[in-house]
Amino acid sequence: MNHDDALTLVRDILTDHLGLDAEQIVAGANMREDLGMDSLDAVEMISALEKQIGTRLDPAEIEAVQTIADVVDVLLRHSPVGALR
Amino acid sequence: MTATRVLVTGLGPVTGIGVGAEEFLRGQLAGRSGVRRLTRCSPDGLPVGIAGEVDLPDHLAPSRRQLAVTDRLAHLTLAAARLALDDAGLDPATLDRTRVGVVVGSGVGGMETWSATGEAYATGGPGAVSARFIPRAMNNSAAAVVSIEYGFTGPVGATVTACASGADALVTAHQMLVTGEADVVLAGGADAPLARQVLAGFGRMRALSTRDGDPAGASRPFNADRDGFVLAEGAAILVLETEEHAAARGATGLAEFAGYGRAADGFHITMPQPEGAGAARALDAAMRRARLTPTDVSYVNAHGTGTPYNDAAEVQALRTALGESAARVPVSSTKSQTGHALGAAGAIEAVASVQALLTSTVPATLNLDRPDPAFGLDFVTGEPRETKVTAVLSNSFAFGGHNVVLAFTRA
Repeated sequence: MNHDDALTLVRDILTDHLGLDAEQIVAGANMREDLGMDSLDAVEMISALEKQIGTRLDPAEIEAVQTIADVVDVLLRHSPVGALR
Repeated sequence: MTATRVLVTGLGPVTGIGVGAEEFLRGQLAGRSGVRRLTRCSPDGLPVGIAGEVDLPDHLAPSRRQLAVTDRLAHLTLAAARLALDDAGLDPATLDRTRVGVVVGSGVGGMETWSATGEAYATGGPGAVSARFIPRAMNNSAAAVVSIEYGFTGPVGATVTACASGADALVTAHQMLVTGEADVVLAGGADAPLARQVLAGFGRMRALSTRDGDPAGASRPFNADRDGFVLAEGAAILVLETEEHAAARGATGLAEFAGYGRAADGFHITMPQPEGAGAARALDAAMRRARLTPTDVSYVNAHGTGTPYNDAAEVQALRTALGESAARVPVSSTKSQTGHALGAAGAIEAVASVQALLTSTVPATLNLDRPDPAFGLDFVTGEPRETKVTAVLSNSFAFGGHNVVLAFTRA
């Protein structure tokens, strides 16, 4: 999975599960300030990500996540190349 | 010191026969039915496959985000609140929002969410339960979403008395205004119960009409051949204001919410006390608080569900409370058209009551070609009736034995 694949995956999760607008979900978007996401949204997003990558994420790693780019990085770290496609 | 008068200054009905005050009135007078083949959930295998359903117009429909994070209960409530504020000519930005309250009753809460969560849990276990489950499902979410949407931060809450929840919310709002806790209250009810488990539950109780082949003809209050109610979704919010607050902005009000009466049956969890004793006491209390006598009452908007037991007990209660006047007061049931929207019903019918005052027209009860010969009241059937309407009583009776009667007079 490359960077674009990961971004597409994050965008799909946030539009399908949280009803956010796809065009707003860009790498630089801050999830809280730009997308209006709250702690419940974060829980939903993490559950969907974990289901995708098939492993539980480390809470400390999640805590540091603030932007869509950060989520993409988490995904890339946990995904063996090509595993999601 | 004179008592604070409470005025109704805005109406926001969201029903299967019309969304918005104008369209709802048109639906009532045209004898529309909001009952149709069930589409909110699959009817497969259910004892009943019809329901009263609402089509929200595009400008009131929930956004994708709202669909993802809130229940149908919230969507119907927000539409009702928007309509009520517009009807009242109130711009939230011009109000002291710390003095605006919200009370929304819901009988069963976010049932579509409960239903979906039950299914998710059964297949996926605890990890499949959404973090939004509780806030979507809780009954007070309806009032909360209105408070959050508009920043209304006066007293905000919910009433939970089954099919009297909406009427009870109006009572609570009245008390908030009279005691000085708020200047304006958005009050009403909402329910979105069209989930398979709910239909199965009411069906198992034998509470629902089984006239699946005739959706528009299934809700038959006071008819000799009535066989149960038709479950519906819906909402209604009314803007209530102290007379002082309304006058300060040049509003005269659509009606006065002149009083209310409440009393319980203390008898059975679902069956009404057969003589309607609690309902009669609630009627009596509403008239006393509104300073009305039975001869003053020009219309009764009945609870009129179309179940054999409710309608019989309600007629007894009206006879007891109205005495000799019972035979001459026009009576009709909004549920004959909308179906029974549980906690929304009392608020929807409060809107209908105010509209009867405004138009001096009593809507007809649909499907009442053969009134139960035991009843002997002046049921309005066939066509709406033009008559001088100066005082209306609106009944809401509920599982649990809760009886709530609202009294509206001309503003």
